[in-house]
Amino acid sequence: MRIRRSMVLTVLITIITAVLLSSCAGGKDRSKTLVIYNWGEYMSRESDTYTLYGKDYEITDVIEDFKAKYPEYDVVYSTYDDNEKMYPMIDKESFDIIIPSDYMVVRLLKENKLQKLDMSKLPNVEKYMDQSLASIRFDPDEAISNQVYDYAAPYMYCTVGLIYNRDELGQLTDTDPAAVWDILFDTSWENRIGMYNSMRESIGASLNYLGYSLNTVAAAELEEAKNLLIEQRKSVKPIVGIDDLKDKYVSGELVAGIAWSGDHVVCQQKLQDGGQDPEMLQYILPQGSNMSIDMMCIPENAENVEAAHAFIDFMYEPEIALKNAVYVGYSSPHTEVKQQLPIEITSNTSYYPDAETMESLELYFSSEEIDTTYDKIWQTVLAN
Amino acid sequence: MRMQKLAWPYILWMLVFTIAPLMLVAYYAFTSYDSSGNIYFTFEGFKSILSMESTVALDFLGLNSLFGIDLQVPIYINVFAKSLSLALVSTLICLLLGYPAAYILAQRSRKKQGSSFLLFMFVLPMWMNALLRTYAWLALLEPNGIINSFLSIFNVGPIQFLYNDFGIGLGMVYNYLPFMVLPIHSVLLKIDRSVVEAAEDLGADSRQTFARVIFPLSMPGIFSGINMVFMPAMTTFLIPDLLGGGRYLLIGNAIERQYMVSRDYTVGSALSIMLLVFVLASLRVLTRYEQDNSGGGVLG
Repeated sequence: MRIRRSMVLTVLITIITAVLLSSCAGGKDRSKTLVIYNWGEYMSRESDTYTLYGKDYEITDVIEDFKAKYPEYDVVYSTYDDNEKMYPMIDKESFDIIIPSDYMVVRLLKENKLQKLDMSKLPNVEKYMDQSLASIRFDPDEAISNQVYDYAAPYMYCTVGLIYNRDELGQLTDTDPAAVWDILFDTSWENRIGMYNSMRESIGASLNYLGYSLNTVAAAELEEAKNLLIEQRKSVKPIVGIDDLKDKYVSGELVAGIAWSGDHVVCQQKLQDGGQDPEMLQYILPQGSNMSIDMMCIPENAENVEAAHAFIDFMYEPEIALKNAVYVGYSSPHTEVKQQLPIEITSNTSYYPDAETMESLELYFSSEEIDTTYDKIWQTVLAN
Repeated sequence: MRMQKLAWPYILWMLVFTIAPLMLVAYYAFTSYDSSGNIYFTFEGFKSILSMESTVALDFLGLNSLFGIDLQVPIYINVFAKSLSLALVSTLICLLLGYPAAYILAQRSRKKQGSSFLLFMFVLPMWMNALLRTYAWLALLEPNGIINSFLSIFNVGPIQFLYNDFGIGLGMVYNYLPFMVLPIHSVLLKIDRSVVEAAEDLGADSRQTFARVIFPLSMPGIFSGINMVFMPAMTTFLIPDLLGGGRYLLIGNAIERQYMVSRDYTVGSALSIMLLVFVLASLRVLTRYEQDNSGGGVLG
């Protein structure tokens, strides 16, 4: 019951803070305010000590750290839980920092909704960014692919795999997607499978299971993936959510599900906090699954570009990046952080894919055709 | 004359916050943008709602899930049908639970037997935010929740209460029950005691008195109760989102999705118009009944 109570409390606090913050923002000078729009539970906002594989790490609220270093700025912080929910909001309000996933960065880039980063103001990014990420293909169009790092600085990256309860499923080692994802469609786990309420992850896992590309536009392949998901909704009855799923894996309510690698780390942390064995929840990355990079960007209509650059560079300071990486649990694109984290994490190819694994993974591509066909499929799946 | 002037602020309010937004919705429903950004008039929104391009099996009152009938309809028709069946069933349960409760409350009020306390207990939960109230049900009903933990003492369960029609129905009944009880209660209270006495004088037993006098006289309360439960139950998206485990797409969620995610204002507005027309039509039916009945109510 503890978990649930803390959740209710979180909701309450969020509502109150949101109301307070929004009333503050109205009255204050916008040039002294930095407005950040980020994924939920995706930045260290608390003080605590985390233990990873026997190593202790001090966590602090990085926004408070930022305000301590730049007292001239007020920070307004709000969150979303889906790229598609963030997308319409950036037209309605002016944010200085957004942290969308790669395919959304490409979409925003194509629509001219991002500002070019001034690299002279980002020395830490130049110094510490992991160069193994430099070769990633973001778009079928090479010209666009090559532009991405001019507009966006990697924040965290992760892979999409299967989180599962080792006590019930045993240790999985076969990384063949047909074997891994099979659990999602197994009717003996009725009501105990978790799925993200997110279009690309759901359709992607289904396509990967069937052996197709995550970016396919072939009607027959998509039809097959769609029918598989509809069948799953009826027979397996998965629980659909985002942040609320984590507590359900920890409590044992859910036995397995689609998960971003970082969510797995958070779940293990929660198990440890609850005095349980963190190894109960395992994570496996199937071949050909998705890798995604969330990136810090400055929207075209940002009003405080100066503070936005300061913030991006601040997030690349080794000490801050480490705290944040430990808290969030996703893989860090920061070379110094990779040195500081336990070797158990950085040598695990499910978290930090090696060249070979990296080769097999796909990013989500975004195009008019992909966006509308996938949206249509997702609507149909939801309507069942 | 003076009273009419007092109505002006409200009329202004209605123009700005009810009529104008409705006009906007209607405008969006019939317009779209071509590739060069020009607005044109279109029925595209309504067409795509009714298009047979992507279809699913109709599941109205369990047609598909319970009886296995496979009738393919456009996806939004099914979304609409599912919302309608959940709202109908929830309203019916609210009525079955709410009428006796209102009746007992009214009787107690007459006899001054602590009815104000009971009434207070009914209204008390409404002081709390609906989101939190619904969250509380999650804690109660989840597989490791309070109720299942209790049942496990007797080796029962865990029972899957959540993420299905039961969970959503329960959430709706719980949230909307007061809206059924209160109007019925106030109508029952207003029934002239002498009418009941007259029925008894003329030899009606208590069952006959209820069936032929009290119940017909309470019809206006029932209709406004149905009105106040059915409409929000039809359009809610908070309850199915939380208690449905995110896998329910009801008409409220579908409209929200069209605006917020798909960014298809045309289809979103067309859906809203469809819902609005349906709601207005059912309102008309209800008020017709209500008028007929208040006509009959002159009896007193």
